[in-house]
Amino acid sequence: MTIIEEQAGPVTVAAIIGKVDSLKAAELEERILSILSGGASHLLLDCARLEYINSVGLRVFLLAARQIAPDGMLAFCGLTPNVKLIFETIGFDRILSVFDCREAALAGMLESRTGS
Amino acid sequence: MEIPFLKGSLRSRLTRLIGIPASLFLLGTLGLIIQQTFRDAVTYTGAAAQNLARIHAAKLDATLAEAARVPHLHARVLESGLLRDEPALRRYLVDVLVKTPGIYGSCLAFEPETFVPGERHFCPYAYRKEGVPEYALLAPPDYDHFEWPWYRRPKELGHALWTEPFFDEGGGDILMTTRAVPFRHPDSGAFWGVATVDISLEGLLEDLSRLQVAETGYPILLSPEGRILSCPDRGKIMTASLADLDSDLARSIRPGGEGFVEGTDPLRPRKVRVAYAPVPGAGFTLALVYPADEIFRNARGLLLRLLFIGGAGVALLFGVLALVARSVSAPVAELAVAARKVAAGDLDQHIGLQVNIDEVRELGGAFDKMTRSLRLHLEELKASTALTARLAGELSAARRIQMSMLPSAWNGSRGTSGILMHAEIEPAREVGGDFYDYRQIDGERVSFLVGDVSGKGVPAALFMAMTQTLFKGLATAARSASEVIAQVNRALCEQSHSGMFVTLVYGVLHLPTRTLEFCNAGHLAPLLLRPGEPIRALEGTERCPALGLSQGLDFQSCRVRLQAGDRLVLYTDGVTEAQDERQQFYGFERLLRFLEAKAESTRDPREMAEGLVGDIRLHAGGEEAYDDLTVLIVQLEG
Repeated sequence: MTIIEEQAGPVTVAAIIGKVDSLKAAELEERILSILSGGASHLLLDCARLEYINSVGLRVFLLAARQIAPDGMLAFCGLTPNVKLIFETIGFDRILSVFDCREAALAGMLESRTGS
Repeated sequence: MEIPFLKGSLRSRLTRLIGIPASLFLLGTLGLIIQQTFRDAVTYTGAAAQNLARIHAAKLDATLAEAARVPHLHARVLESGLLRDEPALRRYLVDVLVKTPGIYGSCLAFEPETFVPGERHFCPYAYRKEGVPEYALLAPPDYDHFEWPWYRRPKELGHALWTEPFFDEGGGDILMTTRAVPFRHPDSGAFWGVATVDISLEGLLEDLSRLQVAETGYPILLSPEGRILSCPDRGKIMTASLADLDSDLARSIRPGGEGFVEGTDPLRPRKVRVAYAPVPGAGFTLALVYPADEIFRNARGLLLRLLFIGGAGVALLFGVLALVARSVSAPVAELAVAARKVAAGDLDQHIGLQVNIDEVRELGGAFDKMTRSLRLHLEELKASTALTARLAGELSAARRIQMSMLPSAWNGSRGTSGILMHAEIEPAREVGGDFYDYRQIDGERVSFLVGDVSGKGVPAALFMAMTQTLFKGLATAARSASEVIAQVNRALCEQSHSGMFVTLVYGVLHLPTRTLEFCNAGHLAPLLLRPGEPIRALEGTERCPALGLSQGLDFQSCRVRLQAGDRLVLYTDGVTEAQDERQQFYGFERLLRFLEAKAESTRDPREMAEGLVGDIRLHAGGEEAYDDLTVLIVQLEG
């Protein structure tokens, strides 16, 4: 698993690449929490190249959603069918902002920012 | 690279690298000194012997020369013409004899009929007989002077000469030599006769025999012809020549010359050095015989002392080397023993090395430091092992507690006949986040659930315990499945700050109607095994989100009518996501294949559950399980 971090305007984009199993979940948690504690209020997790994630890794997503600032936003984009199915199975799609692609996500996030 | 010469113990190396070269050097030096000493001894003795030979030769020469003046006097007197008659001649001869000690006899021999007319043989001879002077006229038949070399040779040669020494037959065993001087007639100037003087060599030889040559050396006097005139063995005198006794030595002595030569003793079998010098007047050669062992006695004494000193030096050297080697190797050996003890686990080794060699002392210090720090580390290790053991103990206790929260084996009680349930659970660690439950809610209903907390280990176990407890408290006959789920979700959301959530399938089965009301909260759909039909997943009409995500979510249950003989398989993702060494999942397909095969072969839920777990283990091989796995089989009897 690798995480590529970049900045798109006010939005911090982190692309999660590869597989997230129980062992890698700790690393994922550490990276995302450090991004959040670094002051990022708008975080987009790009899962386009996320091949697999188990419930331990999903917990990190939920944790990130709890940690995000009240005026901030956490969103996901580019879910593969596998991950999308997991999201839907677990019900993540009901509580997390999920977009189809990065552009849509960035647009949506900026819109919600100006809206708020 | 191994150099055999440099191998071996310290002691043998010191011996080889220092001892032997040093010894060789010492012995070489001693050898040079000894050689020089022997050479000096020869040079010194040679010079001294040469001097002694010269001195004594000169003494002999002087004595002989003194005596030799007499016949020359005779010749002058006769050539002056003063002595014309026989009585005057007799007086003169006897007078000179009396007045000249050391002369044994003196004679005047004339040519035929030149002194006394008509007298062919005229040879007056004055000599000492028992100390008294005698006078005689020597004439045939007793004595014919014309036949003797002492007369004939000066006459022929025309000059004076010494005769070869001889034994005087008249006067006993006295070794004599004769000086013969020719003289001429005063008137005609023609050869007239020969004047002689006989000199006893006894006196000279006695002096010579008293000459001390080293301790057992001796002088030898040789005649011009090489005959022995004097030597300790009287039997050899005049009877033997040096060439007879020792031809090699005789050859190396040059008559009339001088030198210091090496050879063998002519009288005894031993090595000698011989110094010789000429006695020029008489043509003798004086040789001094020095026994070699006496010449070299001092040198040999020095040799012995040097050998002793050298031997002692070498012994001392090797002793010191051995001591040095021991002073290094003994503490090193001591260290080795202590190190072996340490290796065997005895860390209470302390080496207070009392050595003067800095490196070895440092080694000892380092060793002590090492054992000290080993002890410290061991204690730390013990402490940390104890901590680990305590944690392991606590975890094991936690596992027991967690396991005790799971229901014990299903044994249907009142009104619950017709349903069999069995669950297998395998946490990936001591405690896990998977759980299951089955219970009888009232006389007609049983509930069951399989859940999976997102996470592993102690946090997941705590969350699981909380969830399990909530279900126990909330699952009552009064509530429907969806109500129970909604209550549990609400309670979990109040507690969940760590992002933990639970996925589960919760079912309530009404036994008389075999109606199942179930709620799938984000979990894997249960599998329905109905005899005569393919296995299918119970997707239901509603899917609920996982518990603990959010309070405001809606939970709907769905209902399904089951038949006698139906079996439900509830499981967690630990089943399908068990990995082998190539990270290949066990997978849904294999799960289906296994269940299909097993559905026909057994009606025992326990056998099926255990068989499934066994097959998953087979797949995983020795790989450590990443995730907890749980299987629950619910079986409706006919």
